[in-house]
Amino acid sequence: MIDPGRLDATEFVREFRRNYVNLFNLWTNVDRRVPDGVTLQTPTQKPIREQDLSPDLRAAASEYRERRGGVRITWTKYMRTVNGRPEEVIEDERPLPEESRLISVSRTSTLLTDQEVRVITELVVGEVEPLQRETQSPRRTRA
Amino acid sequence: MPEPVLDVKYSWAESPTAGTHAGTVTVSAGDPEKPVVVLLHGNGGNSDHMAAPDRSPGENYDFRSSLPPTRTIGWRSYPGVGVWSFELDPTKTVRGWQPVLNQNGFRTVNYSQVDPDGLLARPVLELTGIVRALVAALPDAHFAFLAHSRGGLLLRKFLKDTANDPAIKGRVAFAITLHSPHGGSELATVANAVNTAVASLRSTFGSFVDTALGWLTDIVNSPSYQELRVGSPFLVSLAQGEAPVPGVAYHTFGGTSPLLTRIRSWVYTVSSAIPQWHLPPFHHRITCIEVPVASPILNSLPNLTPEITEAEGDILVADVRAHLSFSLQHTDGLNHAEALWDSGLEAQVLRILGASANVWG
Repeated sequence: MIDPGRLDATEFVREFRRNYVNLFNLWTNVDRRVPDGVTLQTPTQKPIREQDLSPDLRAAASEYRERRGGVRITWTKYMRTVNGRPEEVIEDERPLPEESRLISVSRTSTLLTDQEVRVITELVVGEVEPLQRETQSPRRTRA
Repeated sequence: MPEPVLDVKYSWAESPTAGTHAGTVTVSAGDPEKPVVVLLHGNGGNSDHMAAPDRSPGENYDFRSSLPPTRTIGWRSYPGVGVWSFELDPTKTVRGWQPVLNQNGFRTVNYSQVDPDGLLARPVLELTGIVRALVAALPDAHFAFLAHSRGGLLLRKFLKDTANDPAIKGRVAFAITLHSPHGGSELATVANAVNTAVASLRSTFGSFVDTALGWLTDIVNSPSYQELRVGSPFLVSLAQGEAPVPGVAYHTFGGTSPLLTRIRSWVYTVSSAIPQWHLPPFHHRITCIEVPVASPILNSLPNLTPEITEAEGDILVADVRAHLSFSLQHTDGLNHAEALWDSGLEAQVLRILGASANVWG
């Protein structure tokens, strides 16, 4: 059994945030051009609804929600890439959620022959809204 | 005043009626008060074994080095999952016996034997010719022999055959053998099983296994190694009537480590499989691990014989078969190749050679 080691989730979320590029801002404000072959929409134009996601992604989100006592997740960003190139992006000018509220789920499928290769990745980013009791001030403990 | 470099011509013949072979050996510069050390390489070897073992036989893997840190490959369009590559440990800088002895003031003679992969008959005749020429060219010198592996059997056969040679008698002071199969090697009798075990490793890890173990299969299948198998006619004949040559201090060293190299693997970190909001989405990183079970490479072979069993052998020779009843016996925790460069072993041998320095005064 080859063990690639453990993943430090907090560190990886920080890396995720460091590497984040707001594609909406990049294409509309900086490049002022959406690359050919890409569909760019905002969540207002096309809301990211969980029931529209693929079953794998829905299952992952649902399982997480159950484990966390029914927290609410608001999906804010969606991207589908084929061979690393974006085909569909749903995003607006909002940054990523803060570190402790960020959630991402993804699915990658691949097809490989000696004639072609296709790597399709769907990535959805959301914000976890903590349960009411988690947002209350910490209970006072006895000295 | 050190003696200068000296070229000595020698000759030998396979029989009284056959033509002679001629050659030249070089005696390096050194202290005339110290013995001239004649270096005898092992099976399938050449003079590099005793001078520059990193060149040949190689196998100078740095298996005690710490594993390298995680490496970043870069952004990719696909998830990074599983194994990136397999590799062996890197090699390390090593120094052979000849430069070590020279640095300590000893004159040395190092040469490539005839028939390194063949039987010992001709190398014995060649060595006899060389030593006769040396004792004639250096009438005041005494000689020490430092032999690795099969070189130790070459030395024994030479000493036995020349025990009554008036030109050589009394001129040899030390016979030191390093990991020599005096009692034979059982590995030679299980050559087929070794071939099968190596083939099995190759089918798992690929051709790089040949880099690490190709030499092993070459050796155990060679005629020269078959001559060294336990109970071979050559060994039986050599031991028959063999007695220590008066005035010669015999030291034998045996090794107990079959550790040659680790099998290392670069594997993708878990994070390489998780897409990020980045184009392309996968940030590939690899981390180096030692492959479980299969590494170290020789330890992963079945314990076919004591030669390749931890704490019993050095890969090619079992410690218990590396000694003579009349020798001072030393055991070290080295593999067969490490005996060509290990600094601890060098210090031991230098102490042996230097301890009797007053003999040469």
